[in-house]
Amino acid sequence: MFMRMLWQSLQNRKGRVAVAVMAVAMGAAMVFALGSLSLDMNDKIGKELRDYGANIVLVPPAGHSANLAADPSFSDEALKALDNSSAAPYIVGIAPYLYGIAEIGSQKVVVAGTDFDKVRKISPWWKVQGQWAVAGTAQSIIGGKAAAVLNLKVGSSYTVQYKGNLQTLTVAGIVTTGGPEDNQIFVGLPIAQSLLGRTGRTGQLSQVQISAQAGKQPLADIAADIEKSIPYVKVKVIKQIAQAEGQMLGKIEWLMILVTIIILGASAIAVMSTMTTTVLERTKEIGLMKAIGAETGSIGKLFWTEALSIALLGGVVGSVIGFAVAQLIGKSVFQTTISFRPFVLPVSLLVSAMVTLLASYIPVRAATSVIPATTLRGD
Amino acid sequence: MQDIIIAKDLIKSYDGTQNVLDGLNFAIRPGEWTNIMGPSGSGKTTLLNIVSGLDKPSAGSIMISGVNISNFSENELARFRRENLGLVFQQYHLLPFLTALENVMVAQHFHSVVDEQGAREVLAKVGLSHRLTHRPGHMSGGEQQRVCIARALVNRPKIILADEPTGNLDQKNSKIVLDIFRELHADGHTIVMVTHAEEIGKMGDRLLQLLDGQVIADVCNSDGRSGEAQYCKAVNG
Repeated sequence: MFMRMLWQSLQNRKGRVAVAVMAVAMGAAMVFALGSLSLDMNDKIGKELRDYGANIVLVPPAGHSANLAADPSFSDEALKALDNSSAAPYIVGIAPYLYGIAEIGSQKVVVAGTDFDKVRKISPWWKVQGQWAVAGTAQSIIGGKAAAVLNLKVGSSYTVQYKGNLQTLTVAGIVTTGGPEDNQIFVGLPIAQSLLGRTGRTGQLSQVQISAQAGKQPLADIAADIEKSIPYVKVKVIKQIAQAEGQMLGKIEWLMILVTIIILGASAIAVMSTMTTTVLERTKEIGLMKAIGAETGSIGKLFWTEALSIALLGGVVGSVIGFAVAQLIGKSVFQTTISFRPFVLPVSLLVSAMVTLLASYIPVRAATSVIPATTLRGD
Repeated sequence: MQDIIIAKDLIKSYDGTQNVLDGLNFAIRPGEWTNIMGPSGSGKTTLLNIVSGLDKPSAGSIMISGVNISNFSENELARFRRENLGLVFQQYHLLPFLTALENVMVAQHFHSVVDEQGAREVLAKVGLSHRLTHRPGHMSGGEQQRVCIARALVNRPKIILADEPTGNLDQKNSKIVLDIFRELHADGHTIVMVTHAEEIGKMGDRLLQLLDGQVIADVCNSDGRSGEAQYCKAVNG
């Protein structure tokens, strides 16, 4: 009989129940969407942030310069050591660099040897006019400012010299980054090593830029692991980016929590308003039930169960909507799908139930406080 | 025989200054049909509410079946009502979203366990076997009042308290409802009925007339059945 009364009561007030369910669903959708996004955020937003450059750099330690006191450098064995280090699973991209100051005509210019494919991966913001240089050829990419000073254009040929070594190059593309790259010339690493005379067993690299995934493991721990594997380099964490990543993830999480709290508050107000109206509408019913023998607890049980039914229905509907919203945000903001995390569903239902029951407290109290003689009077 | 309802020095005031009931004393014997009459504001419904435990007296006491319910808590009163009393209202007060059968079963639900067959039987007793699945909105006033009576009877209370049960009914339906009350009286139920209609007032064993919260007349009906008339005489000396 209890279930029949509950069902008929809900059925009889479809409109109000629908409003309450939608209010709860709105809150549950936010909890589910933001919960899913939050759990995926370390991976997805972390990746976005890593797109703004390397967060770890390998440089020669102070005083370690092999036989090249003027241009500190280290062996390219470091790259293999990186692959074998315990930090390898967290490394998502590396770009080796060898720097030297060469001359084009009478103009001194920084020549940077690198691996173009790897640079493209960890520095996707580089704007290259023309083409990226092809590895293994004499193509180069020249910084925008350097190109202007040297009067070079895409397709131009020029000769660069370093201590008597000459290398003729062509301009495949002109790069603009807004940083020091705008003043540099980029060539394939073997060409730079040959030009700068660094083909021996040591001194082939000046720097290795590393993009590491810091979500699951602190960046400092990853850096320590690398330093342990490659003792002849100094590992520097680029703090600005690491801190920015951590701070931004933290701020976004807080923003999400705040938005969720505000929406849950709005849901609670909507539920409370709907439940209050329902109780007011049903005052005579409640009075009658008490008159025929219902105790306060029986009235409370009926209304609490109604509230819980609304919470669970709203929670389920909201979770479905929330998952769809998460996908929409994932696709439009991170260009990726958001994983279904089964753990979020019970959390969403639990939060819906808690908010609904909390919002129903005052209306249910009002329902249980109905005085039958007062409500049945005035006929 | 012990009185089933005893009101002693009953006072009720809502605002603390004016007494709606002003020191009422009366006693009702088991099986007696007592009608309460009086002009509007004389305290009839207030008295019935206090007897039914829907309201509490400001002073004095009300004993039902030997139990003083004056100081009962709300839940104690609810338990007492469902065990001992059947309430019939002028406005029927049926739950609009439930069928006639379900409205009767609700009273069983709050009492103890639901017995659908028992609910069907009591509805048959008031002549509504053919309206079991109808909702109040699809029934006439007379039918709704009979559902209300069936709901009052389903838990087999000894006492039926009725507040103008025919107040909203036409003559034909009033007769049907009053016939049911006659049967209940004949079955031994104690009936306390508030009414405005003089012809109904004469119908029971006894008539209490109220004015300004006081009993101004307590008369035994001459046409009452001999047994009940004796009770009346005994009470009034």
